[in-house]
Amino acid sequence: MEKIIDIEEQIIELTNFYKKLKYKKIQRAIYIIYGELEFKTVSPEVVRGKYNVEIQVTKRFPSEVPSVKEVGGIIPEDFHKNDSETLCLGVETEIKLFLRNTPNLLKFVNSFVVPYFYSFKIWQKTGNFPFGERPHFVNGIIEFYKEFLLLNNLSSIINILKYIYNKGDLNGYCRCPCGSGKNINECFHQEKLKELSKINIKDDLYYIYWYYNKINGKRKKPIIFPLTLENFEKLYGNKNK
Amino acid sequence: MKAIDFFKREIDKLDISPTNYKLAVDRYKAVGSCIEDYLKKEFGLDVHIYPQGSFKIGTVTYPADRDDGYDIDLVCEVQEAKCKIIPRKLKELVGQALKSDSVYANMIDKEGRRCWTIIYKEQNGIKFHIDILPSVPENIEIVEDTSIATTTRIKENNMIKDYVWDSTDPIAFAQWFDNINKKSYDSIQLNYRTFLYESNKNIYDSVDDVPKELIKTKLQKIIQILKRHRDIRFINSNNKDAKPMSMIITTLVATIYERVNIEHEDIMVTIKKIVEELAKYKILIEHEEFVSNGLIQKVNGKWKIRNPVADENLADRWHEDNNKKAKAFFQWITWLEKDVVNIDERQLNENMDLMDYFLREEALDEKIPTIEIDRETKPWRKL
Repeated sequence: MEKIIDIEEQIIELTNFYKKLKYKKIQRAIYIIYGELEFKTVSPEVVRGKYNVEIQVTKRFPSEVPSVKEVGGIIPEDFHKNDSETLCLGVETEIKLFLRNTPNLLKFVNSFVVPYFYSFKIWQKTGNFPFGERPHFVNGIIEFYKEFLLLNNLSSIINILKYIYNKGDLNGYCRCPCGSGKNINECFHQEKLKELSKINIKDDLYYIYWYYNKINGKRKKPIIFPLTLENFEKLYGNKNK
Repeated sequence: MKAIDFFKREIDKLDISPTNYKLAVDRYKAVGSCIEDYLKKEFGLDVHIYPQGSFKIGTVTYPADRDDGYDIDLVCEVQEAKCKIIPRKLKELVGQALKSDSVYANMIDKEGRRCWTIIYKEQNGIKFHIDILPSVPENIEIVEDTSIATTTRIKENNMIKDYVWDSTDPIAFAQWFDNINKKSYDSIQLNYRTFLYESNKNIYDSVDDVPKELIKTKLQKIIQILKRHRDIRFINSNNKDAKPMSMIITTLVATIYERVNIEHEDIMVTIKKIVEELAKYKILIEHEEFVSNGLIQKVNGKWKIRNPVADENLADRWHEDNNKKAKAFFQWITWLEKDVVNIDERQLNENMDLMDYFLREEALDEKIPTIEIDRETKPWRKL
């Protein structure tokens, strides 16, 4: 049974912590948190930051990741940003997994938004990212899966994602899709599969598969962005089959 | 901007201006003659009035708390044998003299622990108050002995319980300080004096009219910087009441200045060395240990900083409230290490003043949420 999240309660917790943030309800299910996000980090290094932000949260939080904009014009275009000024805080799946385990808005801000600004400050000062940065686009997603699943092989990652997408059995005596030859309940990946099965990995599978085909020269770029279910099913088959 | 230039510029701003100095002198002389006249007329007593403390030794700084204004300490030494008067009577006599005057009666603050305070209305944006310390000579028959007995009010359950004598010697202290200060004073005084005369011809008739209290040696400037730093750092602190006394700062700094050969160093280097010396005593908070040159001592849980010229322990209240004052003192030393010794020169800019500089982090710290980053999130980019 999923715990029901009172989003307003979470927003109040956030604005109590960051006193210069305010919030308003712009539609029935959409909130905007805006104002100055002012913080001081004490570790790893002491950094002070003050950023004008706009955080959009919907009632579908935590399934839907809040979008964060920096509106003070401090973060340059070519830093980790999407076209619409939204900050690329990290690989989406990584954030979704985090929110799945920690469905808390304040913790989300402290674990993704503040470290993002922290990284920016250190990068500005030294030219280095204190925690590293993900490669852009699909390579970043792949890097995340490599770290998360401890797999170096692209086709194993695709197999795992396909398995989850097709709602493969996670408890039985099937072989683990990682290719280790072990049964799932004996494989290191069982827990990872369970975690991934709770979120939507369809986009990741699509992007990685597209990339895999591209580098192996098997097919041309198969489907036009954005992904449509119809096109997707042509490629990977109907998940209900 | 280099730290040294920054501090040099700032310290000139902190100093009392010749105009305000003259105003202060006029005022304390007026108060003094009011008391003198009254006690002579009514009781046939002779009174000596003279300045003491920072006003006397030339280390006055404009307080960080702008409501306070300049603080001038005056000794009101009633020429009466100590055995012929009780402390309560002495305090009352001086209070009575002030209250008898129609002007001062309205300016007098409620009775202090040791002093009477006259508060002046703000004039040209400058505030003043004068602390008048009633006292009698410790040994009236020995002319060379300048030590005095002062009165201290003791309260119990918020009721006045008693008045007791305390001993101190402001004149000898000023002489002790002047002695340490003398060499540098002699070397700079002529140029300094001429400079002040040239720029304040409306106040002074001749170069000799410039009071020596306005001529600032390196030692005096250092004490001013340190006092200013203390005032600013403690202004928002919850330990405000425990901030180190000026007398303690002056004593320790002048002693170190004399002992360690730092006379010819640059002012910032000198401050660093002094703070380093003082930081050596931090160990006393946790342990009672022998520290060489024991300027600050701790024996059986009681602290001791000797007045260099009198039988007086300046740290006699440091152990109270679980060493509250001692802790505040070493907290201040830690702040000094951070603010002045380990100064990050890049952070100084032209438009900053000392107040901003010292408060820079402190003021921010109070409101800003503090985060320990425990998740090493890597930024990514979709397209």
